[in-house]
This record gives sequence, C-alpha cells and structure tokens, in this order.
Amino acid sequence: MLSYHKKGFLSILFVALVFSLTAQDDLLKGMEDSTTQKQWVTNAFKSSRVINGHSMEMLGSGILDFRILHRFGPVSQGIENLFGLDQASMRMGFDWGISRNLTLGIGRTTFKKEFDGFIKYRFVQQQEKGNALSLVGVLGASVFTYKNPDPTKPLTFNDRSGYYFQLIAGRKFSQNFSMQLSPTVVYRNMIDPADSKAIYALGIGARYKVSKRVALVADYFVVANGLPQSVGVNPLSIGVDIETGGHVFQLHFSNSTGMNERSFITETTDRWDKGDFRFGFNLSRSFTFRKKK
Amino acid sequence: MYSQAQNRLLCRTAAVKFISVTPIENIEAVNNSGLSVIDIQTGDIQCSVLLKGFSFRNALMQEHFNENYMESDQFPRATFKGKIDSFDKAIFTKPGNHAITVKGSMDLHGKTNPISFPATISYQQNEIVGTCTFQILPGDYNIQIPKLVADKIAQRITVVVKAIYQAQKN
Repeated sequence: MLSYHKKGFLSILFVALVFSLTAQDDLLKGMEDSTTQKQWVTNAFKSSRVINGHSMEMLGSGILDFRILHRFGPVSQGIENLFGLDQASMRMGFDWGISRNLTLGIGRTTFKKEFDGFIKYRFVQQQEKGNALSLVGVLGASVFTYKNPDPTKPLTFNDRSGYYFQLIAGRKFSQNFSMQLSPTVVYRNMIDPADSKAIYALGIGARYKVSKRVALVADYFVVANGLPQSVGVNPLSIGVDIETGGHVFQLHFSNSTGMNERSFITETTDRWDKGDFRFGFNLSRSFTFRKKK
Repeated sequence: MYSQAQNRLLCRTAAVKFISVTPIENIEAVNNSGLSVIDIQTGDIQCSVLLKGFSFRNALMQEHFNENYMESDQFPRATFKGKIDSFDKAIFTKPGNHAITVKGSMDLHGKTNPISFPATISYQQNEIVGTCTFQILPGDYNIQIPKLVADKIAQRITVVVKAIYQAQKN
C-alpha cells in the first residue's frame, strides 16, 4: 500500500506528465492570436455598386472596371413589348482603382445623354478585430448633353449639371450578410417649380450571399424631402449577383430607370404596385492594369 | 542567439511562397508572416500561416483566392504539424547544412492530409534557418477550381518556405 505522500507525489507527477505532453502536442498554442496583420474585412458586396447606388466596396489598386448597365421598359407594357425589353437605355462607364482606398469613375447614359463622374474614397475599413464599419465618401457630378429642343428657353451648363455627395457606412455582419446605409444629398439646377434644388435621401443596401458566387441584393433609397409626394417615388431595386472569374453580372428588377445618382434618386416616378417595375442588368468586367509593387 | 537550455525555436516572419505554373499563366503569392515553432528536444515542428496574408501582385487574384477558392473567412489558416524523421538533436548545434525529412499532417481548407517532404536545417553564425519545398494538390483539400479556369491553375502547387529561427523566450 503506497503511503499518502507517495500517492500524492505520483499523482502530481502524472499530472505534470500529461500537462507536458499536451503542451508539446500544440507548439502553436497561444501564438496565433498575436499576429501583426490587420485583418481587413473584404467582399461585403461583390461589386462596387449595390445595384444602383455605390456600395462600401472599393476596387483594388490598379484595377479598371468596365461597366455596362441596361435598364429596360416597364414589365407592365406586356407581351407586345416583350415585357419592356424592347425599350432600353444604357450606361457605359469606367471605374479606376487608383489605390485600394481611392476610386475614380466616369460614365455616360443614353437617357438624356448624361455624362457623370465621381471620386470615391474610403476613410475607414472594417477589420476583423478593430473597426466595426467601413466608411466611404463619394462626391459626384453629372451633366446632360441632349440638344435643347426649345431654343427660346436656353439651357446653360449650370442648368444641365447636378452634383451629389454621399457617405456610406457599411458592415459585413457575417460571411453571408452585409448591410450599408448611405445618407445622400443631390443638388440639381434644372427643376420643376414645386421641387427644391437639394434633395436629401437615405440609401439602404443589403446583400445576402447564397453561395460562393451568387448573392441576393436589395437597394432602396428613401427620399426624405424635396420631391413632390405625388410624383417622386423612392427607387427600390431587387436583384441577384452572379460572379464568374473577372465578371460580375447583376440582374435585377427596379422601379427606377436612372443609372446615376441624380437620375435614380430624383427622377423615379414609377410604382412597383402598378407593375411599373423594369428588368435591368449591370455587367462589369475587371481588368488588372497595373500590378501592385 | 540560443543555448541548449532553451527548448523551442520560434519564427514569426517565415517567408511562405506558392507558385502555380501553367502554359497560360503563372500565379504566385507570398506571405512574410508565417509562424513556425520547433521543439529542439523532440524534433516536433509546427507551422501556421494566415491565408489572407498572401500578397499577390494582381489584386483581383488575391480577392478570388480568398473569396472563392480558399474561403478564407471560413478557413483562415493553413497549419502543418509534424516531426523531424530520425531526429538528431545535434543538427541545431553543429554548424553547417543538415538535410532532414519532415513527416506530419497539413490542415488546409478544412481538410487534413498526411504530408512528408525533405528540408534543410542550417546552423551558421548563431542563426538557425529552415528551408523546404513541397507540393500541394488543390484537389486533396477540396479546393474547387471551376472548369472554366482549370487550365490556368496548376494541378500541383509548389510551396517554398524559409524561416529564420530564434530561441523562444518563455
């Protein structure tokens, strides 16, 4: 029979042996957490646009994104117009990633022959353990260039131009779900007497990832003031993002036709409940123009 | 600087590079923050590298690597746990290059496979450097490569590691 002390000693020895074995077993234990890398959160949205509005995503440095947007006619036009497909307007644009936090973009829409440009800068990027949100600012301008149909009422450059400023606060909540809010102000000069020049709106964008390459997206802007209630309608778009290699296809239905901020925020008049939503798609193709050093 | 009284060697800045070579294009990425620990009494070696830490010259490739291929949000690290075969403690004190074989398992993309490869431990001027080269088959780790891009990605990816060790203080 072992004495009390010997038993105690043996059990301590046993515990020490087990302890040392498990310590050997995992040499990396406790070391992995103290990595020096900042662990940026990326890919909250698959594209730099939710559907119409800018998303919190930036282009990588040296990436050129060629974008083609199509918006068709209202589905309520019925089979004769192939549910709106016969009528189409288009925007062609280029977004350029100057650095990972700065993007420049230009584009032109067939509707009103409108040129637009913007500069987008990310102030804060969400981190895995750190910044809870990404904060991005966008400053844009547009000018429509269609020929003045009425020479008695001259249109100046000022009349034709508009501006917008937007702040995007977004967060990737999980691998599958991201959401962002974008308070926006749009300023345009040529308006109906009942409107105001400055329109304030809040954009809400969300994405739910269904698989590695497919996601559901929704893009809604609440126009807070400035548009007469009877005419101006909040633009709501719902769609699917499909990503294949360097392309992202965004297929969606929307009640807005506009493809730049001035247009889709202040000129949406169609209503979902009247069947006046329309099919549209965004197609973007990314090219790497400049390799990172 | 290390002495035989210390048990472990540590490297936090191991250079881990992988290369995919195909007739269409070569894909290469580097991670300079690899973690590696060697127990010089037992010959146990463990290494761990954060997948989001691999830097590609092409930003789009880096995004696809993490988002679509490696699913780095779900499987953030690649980890190797193994042992030096026929371990002789002297390799850590005798100056010169020592050829060894390392045997263990690689945990990548949620799958663990046994792996074994030659390596070199080099002791000179009070520095211990470990280098090795081995191959990884994406198929072995459930890394799905769509048919559309299958001929752009090699079936065997070559991984090159270089780690400069110091005595672990603790």
